[in-house]
Amino acid sequence: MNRMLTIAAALAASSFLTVVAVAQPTLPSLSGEAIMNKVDSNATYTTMAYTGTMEIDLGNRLLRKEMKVVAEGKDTSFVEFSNPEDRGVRYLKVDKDLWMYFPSEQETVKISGHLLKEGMMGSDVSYEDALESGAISDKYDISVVGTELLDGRACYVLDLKAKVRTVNYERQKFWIDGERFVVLKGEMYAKSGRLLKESHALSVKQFGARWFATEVRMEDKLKKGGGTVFKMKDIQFGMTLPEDMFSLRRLNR
Amino acid sequence: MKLTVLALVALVPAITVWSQEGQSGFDPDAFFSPAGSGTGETEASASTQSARPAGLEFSGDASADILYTVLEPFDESARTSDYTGATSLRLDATGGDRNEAKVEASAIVLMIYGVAEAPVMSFELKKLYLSIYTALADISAGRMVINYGRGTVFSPVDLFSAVDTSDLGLGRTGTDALRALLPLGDFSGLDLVATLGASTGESIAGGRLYGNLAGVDAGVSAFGVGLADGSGDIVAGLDFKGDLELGVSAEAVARIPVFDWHPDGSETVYSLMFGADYSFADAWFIDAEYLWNLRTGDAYAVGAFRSDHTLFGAISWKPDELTALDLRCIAAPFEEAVQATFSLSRSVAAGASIVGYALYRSGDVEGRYLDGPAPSAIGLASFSLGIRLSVAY
Repeated sequence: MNRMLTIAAALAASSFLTVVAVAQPTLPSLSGEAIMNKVDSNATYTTMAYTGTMEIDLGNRLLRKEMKVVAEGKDTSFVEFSNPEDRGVRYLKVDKDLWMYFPSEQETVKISGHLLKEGMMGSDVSYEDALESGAISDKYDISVVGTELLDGRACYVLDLKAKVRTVNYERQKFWIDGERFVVLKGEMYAKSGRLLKESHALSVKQFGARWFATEVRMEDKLKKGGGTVFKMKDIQFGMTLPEDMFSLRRLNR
Repeated sequence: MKLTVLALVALVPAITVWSQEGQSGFDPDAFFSPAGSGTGETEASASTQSARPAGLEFSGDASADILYTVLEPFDESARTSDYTGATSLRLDATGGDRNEAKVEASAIVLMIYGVAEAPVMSFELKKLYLSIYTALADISAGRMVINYGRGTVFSPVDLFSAVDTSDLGLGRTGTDALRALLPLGDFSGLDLVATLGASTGESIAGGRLYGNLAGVDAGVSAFGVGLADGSGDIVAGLDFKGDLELGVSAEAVARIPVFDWHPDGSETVYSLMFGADYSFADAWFIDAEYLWNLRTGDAYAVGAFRSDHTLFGAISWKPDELTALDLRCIAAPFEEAVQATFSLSRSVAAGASIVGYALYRSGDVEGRYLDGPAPSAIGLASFSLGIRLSVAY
């Protein structure tokens, strides 16, 4: 009988602790900047290549884009699409500049600033989202607003408020995996407080000692449809790239 | 800390340096080939050499059009009208290695119904060229599209591959040429071109120096047109595309006639193009261009549009990713010539779309007959309604 009571008490205590954990999981106390530093160091690379797919949910249709991507550091990438509608279309992004190459007309076009706000290839990801770079602490005040359980993972919840005008979003909110230090969820807000976009990591995988989100859903809250799911596979890190990998010369080949 | 840590959402995750990684070779050609990939989801994969393409890769599209055309006069008792149909197949092929040498071809077979008793078949070889890539230069020979223009329709610097304004997609024609591209940096180079096969009176040779300065793409070009025997034109031009929130582009070209190797400034023609484009609300795109050909004598401008003043305007609306409405208009107001196109396209399946379109044309909008009598049909206005089904493969 005593044994049964002990088990019942243990179960009750366990349930109570679970409820507490669901409400607010316990994580080591860290500053917002320290958390973002860990996220950065977790996800950094010199060079990277992968095969990607974008599945754009239009409500009644699913558009699928396939691409191969080579990136170097934070500011430079080369993308080539391979799905039938866009086969051979290429992007070259270097810092804040973006060029597109259209194979049919052998034409290279520099993307204008106003187009950067548009959805890339019809997706919920804008060119600006893709291009934005730079130190977050230079642009945002970061504060830890608490911890939450998200998809069974204990997360730090960060609130980021813009302190400069040159940002795409006035305010952002991140849910950072407290163990793997990967952004599991992001919310991007306008100055009015309206939710503009939401991102959600659907798959996180380990590469060596690092964790990396390999599948992410991005949803433009101003658009109809179910958002864009971006998947990465055949991921390679640390390759030595040709010197002219990110040049107009190679874009045109 | 970097802002784009969240943005695997983006195609280009912006992240810093991972110094612990191993270094391995990378073959862009193998990676970007259809079969190419890495060695799985591994860190510092050893090689991507395994997937070199064998033979040619094929792609293209097929389309079918039905067109109803009414010729001026439009009143029911006097008008003439006819139905025509067309089916086309475009086959694109690429082969080789983008590190060393490549061959590319694009051929279009077109069957036209209704213009003669039997269907008329035409064949266009838009591209067939090979390229050899060396450390010093990329050398290409054959038929290719040489595209310098900053404008959507008006590009006086484009001496080689004009825009086909009768094409709904504003495609360009191919040019037979020998080309050498000498890189001077990642975003700059010297492009030398000589046309092949044309008679000495039409052959073009010269070069264009291009680069990017403070975010502005710019080029300066100089070509000799038909100068092999000492009489022809020198065509010198400047072009740029910049960004002032709206996209802005401009081109300035001078065509100077040459006789017995002596330039004749009295017959110089200056062509100036200004263009602007803007998009908003993630659905609208507006494009406008103005071309001014300024003649100092009797000679007309080179290029596809020879009137003194020509205007282009286009507005596109994409209410969703499957649907697009486009209205575009080219007008030479002093010649009372206009060409307008309205189209509504809808993606109906993966790679397949259906387009309904209306065309109106009146007068010689290109100014092809400014220096001579125009065929009588040019003076007649025409209105056409068409529908096109196309499939990409």
